[in-house]
Amino acid sequence: MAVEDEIRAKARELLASGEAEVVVGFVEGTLPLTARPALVKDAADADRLVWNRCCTPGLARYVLEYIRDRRKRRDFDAAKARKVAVVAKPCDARALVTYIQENQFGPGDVYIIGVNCAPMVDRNKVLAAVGAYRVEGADVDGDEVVVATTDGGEERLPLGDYVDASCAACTRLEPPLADVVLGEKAAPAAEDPYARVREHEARGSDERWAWVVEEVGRCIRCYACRQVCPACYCEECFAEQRNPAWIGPATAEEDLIAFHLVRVFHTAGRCVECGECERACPMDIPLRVLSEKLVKDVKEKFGYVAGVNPEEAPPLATYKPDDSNEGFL
Amino acid sequence: MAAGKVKRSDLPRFLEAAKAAGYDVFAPARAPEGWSFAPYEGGAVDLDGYLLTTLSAKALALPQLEAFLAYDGNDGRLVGADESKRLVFGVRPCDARALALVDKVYLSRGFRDPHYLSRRDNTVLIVSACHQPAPTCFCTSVGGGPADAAGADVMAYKSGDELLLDATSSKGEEFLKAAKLEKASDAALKKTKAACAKVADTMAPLWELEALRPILYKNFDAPAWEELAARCVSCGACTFVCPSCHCFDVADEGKHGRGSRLRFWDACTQSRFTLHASGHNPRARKGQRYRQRVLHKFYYFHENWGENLCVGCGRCVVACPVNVDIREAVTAVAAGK
Amino acid sequence: MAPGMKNAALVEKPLLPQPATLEKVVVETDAADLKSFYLKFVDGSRWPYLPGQFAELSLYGYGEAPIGMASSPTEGDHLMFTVFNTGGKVTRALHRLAPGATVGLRGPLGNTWPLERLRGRNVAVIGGGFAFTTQRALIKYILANRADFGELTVVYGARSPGALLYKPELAEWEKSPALTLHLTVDKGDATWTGREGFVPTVVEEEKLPPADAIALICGPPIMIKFTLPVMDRLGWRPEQIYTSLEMRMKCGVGMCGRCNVGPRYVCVDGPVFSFAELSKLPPEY
Repeated sequence: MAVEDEIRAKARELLASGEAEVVVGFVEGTLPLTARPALVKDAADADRLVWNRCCTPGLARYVLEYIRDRRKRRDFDAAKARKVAVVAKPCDARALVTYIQENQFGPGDVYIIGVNCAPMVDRNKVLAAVGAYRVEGADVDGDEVVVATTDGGEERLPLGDYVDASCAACTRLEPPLADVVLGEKAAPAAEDPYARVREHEARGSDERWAWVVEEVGRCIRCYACRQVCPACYCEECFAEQRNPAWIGPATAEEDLIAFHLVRVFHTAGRCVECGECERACPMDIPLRVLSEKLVKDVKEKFGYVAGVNPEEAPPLATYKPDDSNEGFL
Repeated sequence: MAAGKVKRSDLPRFLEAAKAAGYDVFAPARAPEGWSFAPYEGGAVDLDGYLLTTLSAKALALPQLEAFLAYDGNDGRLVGADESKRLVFGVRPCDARALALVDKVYLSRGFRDPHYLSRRDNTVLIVSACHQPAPTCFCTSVGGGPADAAGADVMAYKSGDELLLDATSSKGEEFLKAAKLEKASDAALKKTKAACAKVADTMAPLWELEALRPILYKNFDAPAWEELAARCVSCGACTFVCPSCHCFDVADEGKHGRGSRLRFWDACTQSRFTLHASGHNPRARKGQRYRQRVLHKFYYFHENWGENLCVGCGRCVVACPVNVDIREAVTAVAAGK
Repeated sequence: MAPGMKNAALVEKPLLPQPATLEKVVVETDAADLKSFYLKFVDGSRWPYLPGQFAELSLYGYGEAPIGMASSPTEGDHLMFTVFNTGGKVTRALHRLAPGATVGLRGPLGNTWPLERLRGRNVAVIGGGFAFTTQRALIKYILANRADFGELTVVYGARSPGALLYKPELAEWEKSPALTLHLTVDKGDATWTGREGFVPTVVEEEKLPPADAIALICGPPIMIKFTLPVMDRLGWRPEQIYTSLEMRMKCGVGMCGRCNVGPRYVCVDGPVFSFAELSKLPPEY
């Protein structure tokens, strides 16, 4: 049975039995090569769920939002609350682990339908290659991207050349925590997840600064990166506080630098490398270079990988006497 | 006034002449995010590769950030309005139409915003008529079109190896007169306009908007609003790329009693937009906020100004990280879902 | 609905505050969470305003807050605002001010109480808590133009005696034959000899008559929620009852887009609305 069918069957089962009150999963999008998040509450709607190489959006945040929202309702009865089920790519499952580590909810609150992953397609790259206005529709067929063009023709592109940047660097293709795991295991797409970081590290200090300033200089403070990031779930973000105002509210250069650098440091040791920040940015800022740099640093200094073990505590939220002091002294 | 013509290969010269005449010239250029209106630095403009900029032309009238007032202790003065002459080449009809709509908010409720007014007065918009739509374009569904001249000073049409420039406002006429262009043939102008009309014909309207509009409002309590918004992440991407969104926030920034009062883009999709100091929030839920966005675009603005605020450029559809689609929303709510 | 009166300076420079000197500060409540500020323009100018309107109070470095005008134009040169300290940046800073300080003012903003509908009719002012501010302006205006209006009945309540605003004026009004004042508190204290009861209850007990009358209600949402059914039972129709809405505001001049209730903007189409008008608008306020 195809993974998509297994997901539908599991969702149907969970909703019909009442074990879950909602299933967060993917449904087909309105644009070519797009799948999008949906909250399915009815077993009869389980057939809307899809699973394909376009399932890039992160679903973990919807789980957290759902649980937080229902807790706030006046008529909420914790004893009667049922599980929130979610179709979880490995990065989504890692995010759920971080939520458990950070006491946002317990493992019993969620039913994780884990899926062994394969690199997702970079739809913008496909559109750019074919010409956005020529694309009538597109699909991933095996190891090819098949594009139907507006002149009635068809173009076939090798999927391997059109893989999403974060997926291309991903080495964790199996969910670290799940109630059930679907799909075949695949080999990691990359041997070295830090290729883009090394490119940045190879720059001299001044060059690095200039590069960061130029790239984040395009930011329009839309906060898409923050809103899709699993790690950014503060009810009030430092960037928007006015009382006190830590940073300015808009696009002055110093504020853009401060916003992005402080935000990425707030995610240090918690970033699950999902890549949603970079995908969401309308201004194509290469945010993953910044976050992956910190992922590398945390791995090297603390031997820690985010979102793998629910029993672990994130290093920047804990103190050990033998913590690395590199950079402080 | 008769239309003028410029050979496509002469476009750089035309733009440089405008610069020499004192205009700050902006033209579409490739950018990391796609296309943007950049200060023109010379060279060819890729008229065939360019479809739509990622950010609209709105920033040229309403900057993302503006310090509109400077204060020193208790003394505050308005920052001088920007009076620089500007020529923006290659704006799309949807962008220009959107600016004409935003004008109504900033200039005609009995108050006149001097900064916005000055920028608009001093900017000439040359609108490139569309000879093909992007897949997400739906201007013909909301009262616009590929050769719609609303808000344009000059319409520019591709015609073989030439660009035909047709003034559509007194400001545009003044500009073309000074440019002293060769006269374009009426036949050529007619032909290219017909080509654009054909493009419009290929874009069947998604709805019968006038009939549908009151139904959107009537279905204020439709469950579709919450369902459509369930995937919304409450960022501001749709709002900020939109050519007709014009909401702003205000904050003071200073040190030791000296500083500026700032105005900067804000988004009704974000949770704090209507948050009162008391903690009360009339639009605390995503469905309420999304409904506000859609109804403002398709109903409230029309109630106040007689026109649709959404201009069908499709940028929000492209920019949304989770594929919330305003076209789908209007259809679903109108169907009473 | 009479349109708000416009200040020419505001039309051309809608976002520029006019400096005013703080002449007097009166602490209105026992908890000191409400203070009345008496302001006069530095250049001696006067605003053309009417009861019901509001202004944006500006403090450079902090920001602005929209506050209803509690003074009536019939009272003289001063503009008076009663400000609740919400704990936010601006109101906290306002509360720290002493006489002599400068406050920027932008206004007058918004529309007015429906004076042309009130003339020649009986007027019922129903207020709760610190929403009573622009109602004070109206009462003073009516008292200064007494012959133009019919009977004036005021129902005003607060949580406790200490929370009542304008205590000296309330004492005057209680004795005045020009109006009938029904004062009440949710809960009295050791020295309170007056009435105890919620505003909706008082309205019911006093059976405010709707004949040839207009009512103006301001108060916390819960007070309004329970008062409207009482009014309905007494025979009042929605087009006879007006209220003043509060919304988060920034520009106050219909540009920044955040204070709308459906197609109406509270800062330019309001803040005064009749309940008949509100019934046609989405319940998002």
